[in-house]
Amino acid sequence: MLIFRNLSIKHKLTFILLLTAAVAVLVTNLSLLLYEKNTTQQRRINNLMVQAKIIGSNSTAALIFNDPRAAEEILSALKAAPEITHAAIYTSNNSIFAGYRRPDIKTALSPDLSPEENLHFGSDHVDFFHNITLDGKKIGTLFIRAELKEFYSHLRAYAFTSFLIMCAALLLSLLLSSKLQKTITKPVTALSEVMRRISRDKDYSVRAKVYNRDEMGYLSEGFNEMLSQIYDRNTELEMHRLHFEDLVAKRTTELQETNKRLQQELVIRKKMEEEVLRTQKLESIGLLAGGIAHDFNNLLTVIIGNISLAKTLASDRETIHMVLKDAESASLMAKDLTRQLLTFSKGGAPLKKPASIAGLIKESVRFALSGSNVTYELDIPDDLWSVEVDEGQLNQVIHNLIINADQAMPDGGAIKVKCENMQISYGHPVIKKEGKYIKITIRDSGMGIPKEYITKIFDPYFTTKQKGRGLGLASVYSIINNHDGHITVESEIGIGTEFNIYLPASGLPAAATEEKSEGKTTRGKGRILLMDDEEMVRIIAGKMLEYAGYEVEFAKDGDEAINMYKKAMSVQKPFDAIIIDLTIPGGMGGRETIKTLMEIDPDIKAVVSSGYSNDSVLANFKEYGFKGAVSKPYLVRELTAVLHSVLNGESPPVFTEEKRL
Amino acid sequence: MTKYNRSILKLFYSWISLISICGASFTYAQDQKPGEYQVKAAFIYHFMKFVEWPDKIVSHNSSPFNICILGEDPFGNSFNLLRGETVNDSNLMVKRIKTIQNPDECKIVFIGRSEAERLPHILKVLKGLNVLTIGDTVGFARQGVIINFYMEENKVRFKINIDAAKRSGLKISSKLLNLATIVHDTQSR
Repeated sequence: MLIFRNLSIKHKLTFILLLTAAVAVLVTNLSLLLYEKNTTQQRRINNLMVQAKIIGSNSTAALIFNDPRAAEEILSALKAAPEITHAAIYTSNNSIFAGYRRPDIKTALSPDLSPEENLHFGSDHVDFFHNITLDGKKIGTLFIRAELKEFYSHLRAYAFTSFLIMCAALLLSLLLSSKLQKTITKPVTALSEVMRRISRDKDYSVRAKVYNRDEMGYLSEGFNEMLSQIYDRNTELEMHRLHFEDLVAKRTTELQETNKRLQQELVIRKKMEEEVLRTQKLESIGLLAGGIAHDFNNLLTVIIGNISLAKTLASDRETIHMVLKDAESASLMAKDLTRQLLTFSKGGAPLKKPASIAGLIKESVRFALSGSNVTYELDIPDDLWSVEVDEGQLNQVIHNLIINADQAMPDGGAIKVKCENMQISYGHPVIKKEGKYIKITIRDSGMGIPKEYITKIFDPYFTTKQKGRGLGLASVYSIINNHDGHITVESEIGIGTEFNIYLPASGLPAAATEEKSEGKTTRGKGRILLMDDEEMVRIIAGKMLEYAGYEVEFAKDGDEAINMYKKAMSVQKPFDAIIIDLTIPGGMGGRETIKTLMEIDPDIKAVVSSGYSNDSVLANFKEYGFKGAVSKPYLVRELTAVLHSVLNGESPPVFTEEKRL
Repeated sequence: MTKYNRSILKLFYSWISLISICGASFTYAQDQKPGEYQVKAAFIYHFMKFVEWPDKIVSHNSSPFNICILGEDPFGNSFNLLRGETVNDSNLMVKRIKTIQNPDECKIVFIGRSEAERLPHILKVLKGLNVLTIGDTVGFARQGVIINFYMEENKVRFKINIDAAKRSGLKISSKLLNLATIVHDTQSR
């Protein structure tokens, strides 16, 4: 069975067809043979029986009339039936009456007579016993024996012929089937061949030949269709693959670029983190410094105030005047020092004004290098954009940097100062915010800064100078930061150092430079309420104001100030102006006080004073409701000038830092 | 049963058996060798099976079928065996007649030897009456008796005069004719 299953379709089909044909032919032949046998036999038997009946009927008379001769004569007629070998008539008591033997038969018979009509089949003969009757009464028995030899030989001949015919038919069907099976197997074989080829060569452009419009045909067509689809898919896939590789390559490059940029960003971020750290460091130090400076400032206010007042009381000619002048300059230096300290403290906002800094830089450089063996070169374009700066602070910056450069070249040299307009676009390694900037470059050919110190130079109290305090560059850094600018440094030992400052340009035109009023106390008249928590400040300020011609009253804190102001208003003796200190520890400060006072008197003429020169309130005093601002420690002329302008409704002068170290 | 009775009974039984055996052997002997006229009687009975009377004769069912023996009766009680037999539903009767005066009654007439001289007269009388004439005298057949018995090697044979048969209006089966010696009327006299 397995063998059969694995035969090729051609052989299978041929075999099946042959088998079917063979079975059909065999069944037909056998059936016919059987039928033939049966019918022939039946016919023979019928024949025999008929013959027996005839003979029986004919021999009745002979039997009745006991004429055996006549009977034998009748029996002899059986000669005509060659298959009958023996015949005999027996009387009713079963004794033989007449007999017949076919001429060639030698042996006689003495069969056992059966009482009934009967057929006995022997090996090669059939015996028939027939009752001879007359008027329904049995008068004798007829016995006939017919041999089947001929019958059998006939059957054999028939079988043989049919077998031959069967063989011929099978041969024919073999030929036919082997021819006809092609119509089925050819397409199948062709298709399977194509499949084999495809799976071997992976060539999907091959197609199966469609032979007929039958199921095989549809299969082949469907198969071809499938192949086309596979082929198309393959090409598509190939394209996609190429495209994909393309994409991958592209993505890789993109990734690489992004990675590069990421690296760059990381570097920048690190730098920025360092900056932030630095800023934080500075802030914390600043807080500390601020705290100290605030107290110090208050004391200084008193000192300066007193000295200043004393100076004015003393005449120019007296020695005391010179003494006091020295004291004043020293205390002013102290003031500057505290101011420098205060630039680190919290909320140190510069009082920025749009300014053209060309003049400022020139002046600052000139002043800083006066008396030095170092020369300078300036390269400042006329169309330098204006920047929003606190002039005093910028001055400080330039001053500090030039002094450092000067000190780096003890044997002389040249400092190059260059300014230029710059448009910063995205991707600048240092400056993150795009826009217009001005760049200030200060380059010296000094000894340079060692690599290990470069990162520390802006740290407060870091100095390599024996007599340095270490605040110069720290304040520079802080100021630049507060101006939303950047500062960078490059240095090489023995070659020189270059500082680059970037400041955001201002869209506004430069404001007119302020006049510096020299030493004049502005006199005025009016009732002034002075609020300050420090008693000594109150005393000296009071003295200043009184000297200037005002009536002064004092309050410790905001609450007291408000009450006094209210009371004065109620008794129709209001104050003309009020000077409010910004920071009142443990009490209502300037901000809240002005708020409340404004509710009482919206047109209140208030001046804010503070030791924190860089508080935003001082910078934007108008927004808070003040009409003017002074920063402690203040000189007489400063205080009186501001007060005067406020009382007269003029725009108050802004006093910036003195150009002193 | 006493000893005496038993012996008597034994005797009686043996005597009965003896008689039976004798009787049986006698009858047996009788069966073995049937007499000439028994055969002839049987033949005559069987003839009726092979002879066809015209319909108008046979249609009277109730009237008996008579076999008449004319003249000397050689049969004796040979016809006894045939008593009760019927032919075509008619009862068979065997009559012995002296003369042929009432021939209507007879279907078969056996003419004995004693009537040899009167044969032509008898035949004339029976003419056209559909009677089967049978004899067993030499020459009868030639003279016009339809069936005439004769002996041949101790066997009963018969001759049939087919002309006479034709004249009688009876149809005789070929089977019978086959067995008989065919005789014609005397042509050459």
